[in-house]
Amino acid sequence: MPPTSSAARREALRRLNFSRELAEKGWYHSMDFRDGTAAEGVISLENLKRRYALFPLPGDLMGKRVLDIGAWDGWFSFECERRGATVTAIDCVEIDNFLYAQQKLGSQVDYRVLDLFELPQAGLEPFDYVLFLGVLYHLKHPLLALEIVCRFTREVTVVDSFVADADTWRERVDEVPWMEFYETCELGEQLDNWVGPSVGCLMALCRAAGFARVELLGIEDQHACVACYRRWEPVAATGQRPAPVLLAACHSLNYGINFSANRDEYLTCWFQTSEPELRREMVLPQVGDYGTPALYLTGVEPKTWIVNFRLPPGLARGWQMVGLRTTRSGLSNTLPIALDVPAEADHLVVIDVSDGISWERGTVRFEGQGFLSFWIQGLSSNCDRHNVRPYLGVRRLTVEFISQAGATGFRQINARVPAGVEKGEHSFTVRFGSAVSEPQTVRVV
Amino acid sequence: MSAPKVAGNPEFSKRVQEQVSLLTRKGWYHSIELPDGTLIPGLISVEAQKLRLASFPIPQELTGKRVLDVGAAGGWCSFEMERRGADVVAVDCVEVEEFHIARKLLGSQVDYRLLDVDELSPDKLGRFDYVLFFGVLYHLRHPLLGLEKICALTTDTAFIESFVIDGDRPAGEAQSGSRVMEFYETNELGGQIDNWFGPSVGCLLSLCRASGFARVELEQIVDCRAGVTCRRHWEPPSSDPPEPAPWVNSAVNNRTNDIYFHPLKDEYICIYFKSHEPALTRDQIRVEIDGYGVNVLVLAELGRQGWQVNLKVPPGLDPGPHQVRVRTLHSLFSNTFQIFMRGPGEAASEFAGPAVACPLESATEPAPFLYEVENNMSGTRLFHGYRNEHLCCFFLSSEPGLTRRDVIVEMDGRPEPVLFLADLGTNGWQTNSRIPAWLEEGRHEARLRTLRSPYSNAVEIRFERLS
Repeated sequence: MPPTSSAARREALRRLNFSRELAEKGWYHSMDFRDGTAAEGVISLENLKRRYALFPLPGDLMGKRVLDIGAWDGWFSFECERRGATVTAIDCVEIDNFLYAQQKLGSQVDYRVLDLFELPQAGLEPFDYVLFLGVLYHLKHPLLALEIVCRFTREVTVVDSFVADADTWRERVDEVPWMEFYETCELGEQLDNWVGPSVGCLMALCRAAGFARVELLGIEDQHACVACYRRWEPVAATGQRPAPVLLAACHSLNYGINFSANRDEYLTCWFQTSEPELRREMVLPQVGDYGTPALYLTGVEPKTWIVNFRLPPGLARGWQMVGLRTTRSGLSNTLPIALDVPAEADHLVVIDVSDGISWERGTVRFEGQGFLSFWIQGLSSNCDRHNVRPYLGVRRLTVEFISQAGATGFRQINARVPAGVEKGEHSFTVRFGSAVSEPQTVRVV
Repeated sequence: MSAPKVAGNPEFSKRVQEQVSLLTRKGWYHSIELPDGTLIPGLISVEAQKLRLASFPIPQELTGKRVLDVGAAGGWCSFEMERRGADVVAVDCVEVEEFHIARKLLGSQVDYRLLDVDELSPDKLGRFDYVLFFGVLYHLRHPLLGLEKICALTTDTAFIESFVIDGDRPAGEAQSGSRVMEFYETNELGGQIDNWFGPSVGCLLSLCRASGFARVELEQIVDCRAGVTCRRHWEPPSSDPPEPAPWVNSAVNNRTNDIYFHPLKDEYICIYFKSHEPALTRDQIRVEIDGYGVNVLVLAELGRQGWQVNLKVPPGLDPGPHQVRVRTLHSLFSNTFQIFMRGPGEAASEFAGPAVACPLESATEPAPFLYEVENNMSGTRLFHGYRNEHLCCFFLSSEPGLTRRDVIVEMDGRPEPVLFLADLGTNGWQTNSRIPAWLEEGRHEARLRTLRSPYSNAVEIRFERLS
């Protein structure tokens, strides 16, 4: 085996001492059973309380839902419950101590034996706050795990993980984020440790998973603790720059407005702002209530910008509003996108198929390029440039523009005729969902 | 971290951006040669593509073989595999128009599918003798999950090529270098936002093994890209091995000590076996599950020629029984031991309640013979109630294929769950149970039966709590 980082070697030693101590004490978390009895664990009560105090959770959790992933003996679950929260605790193995403490405390915590990757199938509703402590580096697919956690978070997740550069990260904040991979038991002589991210990598993974912003809370004993927020900071009440104007919001690949919650999907937005020297980090996009980090920003013309970002996880199906602001402005106007909204039509009516430039009916002039315009009725409101599929014979045309529906329900659609289409008569049809319009004859000249 | 940085390197970004603009001008990514000798020029020349394929040990004759080309792009590799006689399925995450045109011009029968790597499964596509996975891995957000999907689809060999961050080092040095991957949150690598991970060469090899391949070999490193051949089978055993075959006592889930595994959980198999070979090392162990080789994560010597290995459950095991066996580099294969994979919809919990035994009078199997009861810590019949003390019952039974839940162990007539059952060979078995918490000082009787047999003889033990 190649040498692993000194951090991994130190973790091995720490783990060994820890295992001895755990075997002697029997408890990992210390526990105050609030009846005069207590259990002394490897982690003292003072230490647990000090860690909890770092978390950006409200003191009063009445009415809030909390998920504790990898609860172990359960101190954090019981502490959140004591503060009023409805708590679900999961662990990959059943811990006798948790059940014992639950009984002693008369706790109502919903305790389930689940692997993290079983969470999406467990039928649980999202949580206001999620604790994800000491689990990430045990997982083979850390970014997938964080995506799942993000999907179940409405406000904040606290992530605590082993990091491979706890001693050196301050000197190397500019380096590309990296993580070590542990094929066997290189980390702590345990075979269920898979990755050791750098501090920068841990934070980058949390953002990439879909959290809007990530804050380092502390580093101790080779572990880093970070708070991951689903929303941007509140808009400053005073000194605001004018809000940007959102010109368009569409799917990065197909320019439509339809998205699927189950896929890795990206949005592209065009917007205008008078703010000078805009940088990626200064643009704060949001979909529904959730902020999502900008991945790419480029200026297209003076004051007009394009920004790309990932669809944040955990949005409800249906229509969602997209907006953005800068670190110094208020929120822009918003534009709608459709999340898993079916594209179906009962009946499609197409009238007035004509050349897009000369308006000549039933004809398309093709000279290097050609455009065709038509008016159509019956499309559902989530029709877009991708799901409206016009055909000349078997060749699909590229939709370039869809108008709003007029008073009679008709929309104008402009489409580009593909290169290589043969001259002569073709059957023109429009498909949408499973519906097909009546064929019409169009002559390419 | 001393890996040379490609990410954020303006030279590298410039080169990628130049390629992108060249591609836009040329239109085609892969050059394609038509049967009449016409050449459609693309960004990558036919020679370059031939060289790339030739760097892997892909058979020239593929008649009757199924080949999957993941990330087919313009399709040159797919069409070449088809030319060699294979049935080819090509998949890509976006529809590439030039693939369709070339397919038509070549009169090709390649089955083209639009699928993300996350969507690939044997249910959808069947399994393949050979899988090509070129230039895709670093575009995945979950690289190890992607490789697991590839492994599950492969019955023989996968050929993998990926961007690596230390591609400028000599192969030997790079292989034994640190196992790290860079993570690209935005467009750090080449100015593209769909590049997520850059592994070191050592990390790439580790990931391939961790995903379930038995043997992983670095073929070459060219231009920041490493080619790796990943085989699902071990090398054939030597025809005249000097050492006797090991004996597998049991193969269990290391979380539950049971023979049941769940597809959604991260599960590890723990195999206990006997071998006469001294000083075994991890890289000498060859574990097979249904004929597929699996790498061992840890090896522990238990004494008295007993050994334990732990390994990850390989991806793609169908629901139902699977056969586990072990050999060493110098031996033939052991006996096989059966484990079970649950279906995805089946209850995750293996503690489905006690098994129901038949009434004693309608037993169909002969009574087991309980030939020894031991304290696992001392090897005696004296117990003290220590935390790690277990009750081991050794018995003979001719009943085939016993599992943990077929055996009922009783202390003074009260059943105590069997945590673990080992097949010792020649009808010998061993159970492990906890010492019952209610046990009082003095003498007690242990006995056992199977679900289908009468009770064995009883054996007396002594319990003395030490103050």
